[in-house]
Formats: sequence, C-alpha cells, structure tokens
Amino acid sequence: MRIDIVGISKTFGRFVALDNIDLTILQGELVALLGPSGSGKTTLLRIVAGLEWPDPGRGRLLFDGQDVTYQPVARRQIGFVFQHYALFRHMTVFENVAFGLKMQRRRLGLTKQDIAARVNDLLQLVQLEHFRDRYPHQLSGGQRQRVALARALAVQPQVLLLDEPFGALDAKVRRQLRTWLRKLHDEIGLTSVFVTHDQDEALELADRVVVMNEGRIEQIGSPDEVYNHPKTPFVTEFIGSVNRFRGVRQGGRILFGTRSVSDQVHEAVVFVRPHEFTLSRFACGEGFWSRIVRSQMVGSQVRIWLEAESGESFIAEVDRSQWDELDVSAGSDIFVSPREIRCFDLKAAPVAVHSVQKASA
Amino acid sequence: MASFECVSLDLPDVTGIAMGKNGDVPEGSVQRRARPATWSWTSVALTGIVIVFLGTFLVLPLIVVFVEAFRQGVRVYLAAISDPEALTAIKLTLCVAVMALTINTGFGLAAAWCLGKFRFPGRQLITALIDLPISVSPVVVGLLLVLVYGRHGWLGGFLESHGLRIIFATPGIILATAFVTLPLVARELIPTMEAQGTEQEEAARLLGANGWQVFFYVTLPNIRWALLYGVVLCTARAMGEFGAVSVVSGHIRGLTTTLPLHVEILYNEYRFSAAFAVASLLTLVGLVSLVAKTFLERIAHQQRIGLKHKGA
Repeated sequence: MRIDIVGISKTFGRFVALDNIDLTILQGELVALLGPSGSGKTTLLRIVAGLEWPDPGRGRLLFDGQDVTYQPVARRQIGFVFQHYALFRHMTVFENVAFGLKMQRRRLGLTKQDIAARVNDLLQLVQLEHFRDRYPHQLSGGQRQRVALARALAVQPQVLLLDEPFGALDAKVRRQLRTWLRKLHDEIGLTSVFVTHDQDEALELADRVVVMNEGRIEQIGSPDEVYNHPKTPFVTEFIGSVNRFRGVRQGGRILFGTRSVSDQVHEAVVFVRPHEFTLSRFACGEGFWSRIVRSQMVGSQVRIWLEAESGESFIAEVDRSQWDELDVSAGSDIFVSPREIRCFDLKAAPVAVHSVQKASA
Repeated sequence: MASFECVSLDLPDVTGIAMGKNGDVPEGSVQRRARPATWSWTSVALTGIVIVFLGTFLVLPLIVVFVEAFRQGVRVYLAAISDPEALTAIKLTLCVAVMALTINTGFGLAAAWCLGKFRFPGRQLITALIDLPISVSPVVVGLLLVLVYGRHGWLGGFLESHGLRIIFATPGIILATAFVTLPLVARELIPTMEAQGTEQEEAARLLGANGWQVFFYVTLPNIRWALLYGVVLCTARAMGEFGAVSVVSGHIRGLTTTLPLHVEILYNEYRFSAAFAVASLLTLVGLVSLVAKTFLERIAHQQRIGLKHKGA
C-alpha cells in the first residue's frame, strides 16, 4: 500500500512534535525514520497507525489515495510492533498471535480451525512453533520480538509499522534479527516503516532513510545518499562519525584547519570523515599541519587523535600498514590532507556549498 | 498496601519471576538479606518493644474477643448468633456489603481507568478527592448524608413526596457504607493501571478489538489480582463500618441494625457474652480477609514489579 503524508503538523501543548511533514512511502518499500529522541519520528509513526492524530486541519494521511486521517485504528489494517512489544502477558504465545484473528473472526469469516492453522503458519515463519504454549515472561527478548511481529502479521495488514524494533535487544541478537527482518520483508513484500535512532540499523536495513530532527525532515534518500551526500550539517553529523571544522571564505575557497582560521569569525562549517584523511610527513597538496596527540589500534585500522594548527581536535583513521610506513608517534607533527570534504555556508540557508569537493592529495 | 518504595528491596523477586520460579523462594532471600547479621542489644530491645506493643494492643484483645464470646459456653454463643435480631443484622450487613461492593467496583474501575490511563487537567484534584472519605471522620459522613437526604435535608422534601426513604432505612446504610469505602478499590487499581500503561490496549485496538473487547480481553485480566485485593479490602471495611452507619441507621432493632450496631446494642444492654459472640463473627471476617489480603497483595505486587522491570 502507498502511504502519503501531506503537510502533517502535531503539537503537544507548546512542544512542536511534527512541523509540516510531507512524505510518500511507496508500495513494498522498507523505510526507516531515523533521528535522535524528540525528533518526532515515533509521533509520525503513531499518526500513520492511527494512535495519534495530526493537529486539526493541519495535514492529511492517505492510504492508496484515500483519506484515512481520522479513520479509527481498528479499521486501518495496520500491523504495529511496539518498542517493548506490548505482548498480552496473560496469554500464551499462541493466544497472542491469534488475538487479532479472534477479534475479527466474524468480519473475516474464519473458523477456529482456520485461526489455528494461520497462527501455526505464522509461528513457523518466526521460528517459534515450539514455544506456542509459553507465556511472554518465559521468552527471551528476541523471541518476544518475533511473537510481536507474528501477532502484527496475523491480521494480514496492509502496512507494517515498527517502533524501535530492536531497541531493547542486545547487540548480537539485534544484528541477527535485522538480517532476518530484511529477508522477511523481501519475502512478503509488505510496505514497512520502522523508527530508529541507530544509524547503522537504518543504513543497513532500509530501502530509503528519512532523517528527522526537531519535528522536521532533514533529508530523504537511499542509505548511500544520506551517508555520502548529506544535505544538511545535521545529517552529516548524525550519520557516521565525522570531524567538524570552522571554515572561513577566502577568494572563493574555503579555508579550515590552518592557523589563519583561528582568529577570524568563521563563516562556514566543514565536515571530514575520519577515514577521508591522507597523512604525510611532508607538506604536499592541499592540507594543514597537525600534531599527533595519541594513536590507538582498532582492528586493522589505526585511530589517531590530532590537533590542527587552528587548535581544533579531530580524529583520523588510516590503515595499519600506512601508519607503520609513516613511522611517527605522539607529539610529532604531520601533514593532513582531506580527500573529501562537506562544507556548509553558515550565512546562507544550510545548503551545501560543495557537497563533495575533491582536494588534490 | 504494596508500595513502590519496596521495589529495590524486592529485586530478587524479579529474577525469580524471570526464571519462572514461584514467589516463595525469592521471598525468603529478601528476608535473609534484611536480617541483621548479629543480634545487638539495640535490635533485641527494639524487637522486644514491638512484640510487647503488638501483644497488648492487637493479640490480647483478639484473644479476649473469643474468650469472652465462649465464657458462658457454646450454647449461649450459638443462641446469640442465631437470635432473630442477630440473623437480620447478618443479612442486612451482607446485603449492604454486596451493594457497596458493587457500587465501588464499578466506580473504582471507571475512576482507575480514566486516572490511570489518561493525562488531563484536574487529574490530581480528582485523585485527591477520591481519598476524601478516608480523611473525613465517618460520623461526619453520616451527618452529611442526613443533611442532604434526611427529612429536613436538601433533597428530603423531594424524596418524601415520591415516597422514597433513605435515611433511617437500608438505602441510607448502603449509601453511607459505599461512601466510606469508596476509595478502596480505586486506590488499588490506579497504580496498577498506571504501571501497565496503554500499550497493550493500543496493541489490541490495532488488532481490531472494540472498546469492550479491549476491556474484557486485555485490561481486566491484567488488573484482576489488584481488583480482587481491592474487593477484599472493601468487603472487610464495609462489613465493619460503624460510625457513618450509626448516624444514618436510626438503630431500629431488627430492621436497620448491621452487625457492628447490633454488637453495640447488646453491649449497652450488658449482654456481654452475646455482644462478644457477634463481635467474634466480625473478627473472623477480618481475619479471613487479612489472610486473603496478604495472599493477593503478594501476587498483585509481584505483577506490578514484573511490569515495571520487564516491560513485557
């Protein structure tokens, strides 16, 4: 099902949770709403589910072109997985999954046998067929997660919504379930939206990522687009680790990192990812001198803490072989040239000046 | 009453639930941890004081009730409780308790639902108002009812013209009892409902359940122990209520005397054995509900902790 969110705003008292949101989710897409807490992503998800409503007259919600803004929850045919699963604790796994079918039995014209067969199929799908008579408190976090998913899928929803689906799980289970959920999505092709604050999760799982901040959408794009071509300073900083430098304009060029920057009012902000630096013992090409504060092996990489001439601290990451070749240690000066930078003009609207600029290495 | 302050102390309970054990094992471990390692003079002295205090103020009177009840033999005891007036009092008390319970369960569920699950202006005020009957003396409650519903009260004329009698009749007694026991069910349910949040209800609605289905399949099963606990508390209190009932009943013998009032009448007539015999019935009710209460409290409390810590 296609979902159109048209100009939706939502306030809680004085707090603006959503500010004029426009978003279209296509049939069969897996979309991530990514943002820090308080960015409005969960509110948006709950509005799509029908658990909240936009402010009166401020926005519409369309399912396949039909206005459903004020349609009651029960009629929307939505599968929803809550962050803490919200399983019915007094019901067994089987009863939990069967609940929706039981409630809609008359409408769907199902017999008891139909329900049992459908629930067993679903339990097989989520690999919990041996746990059907257990109660939620007898299950692990990952298992509860899958019960919640099976319960949401039982009513054959048109849309699957997941609120921080892996938030309450430990790292290993989280990774397993992520892979599994992607596979499941590819198999059943259900239009799905999930909320997360974890950029890795969003980038790894989603077809498209919607980055949200303070009730607004900062950028919509494929994982590759938001990672490699962030459109705003917020997206740049929020996705992946990144160094931030003050920049000044000088004859159509942006200067940063050098001593001359430190005593000027900065006009731009420049971002460089740690792995996008080339280090050298001699000045060559465009770059600036920095002092090594300390270094740390991280697997096959070396992470180096540096201080630029401008006094700003930053982090660079290079391959271990490269580091060994350099043969430098803490306290020595080194020439740093960024291969790629993202630069945002502070005076104009926060639009990229050069989204990616190649500097000669 | 189960309070949240104990949560940290009871943490072993939680692991107990998580591992699917029954509640007894962790209960013991809590006591072990709470017990001081050695008996110092202070602890001996304090324990002594507590034992003496409880002995003189609680246990001794309890024993006296039964001793006095049987002082003149079993036959007198049986005669006292099978006396027609006593039987009417028992019947009236049961009837009043059932009615008060019905009213308060309905009210308690409604109040806890709206106070526990929703946030709205005036919520604090209503929560405070629910506690009013506990803080006001029952005698005052009785007087207030007389002032409103009595023959010369605000609604007295209206009621009389329609042939309705409330004060000095059973409806008045029910009203007074219900008023005094009003908070008992609601107060048990509000924290439970708050702790459970609204997610399960939302999940049920998303799965296509209508309002009643949500209530009967999800909300009610989740609060059943707390509700039962409140009901036990309310019943015990309703049967024993004296002050408010005393004002509105008019003490019409064999007609508007509940068990506590009957005890008072017997006592004032120097029929001590009979008075204690009837009193022993009330005491038994109290003891039974105490046992039930302790049992239910434990279950309800465990459920609440389980919810707080596991979020399932």
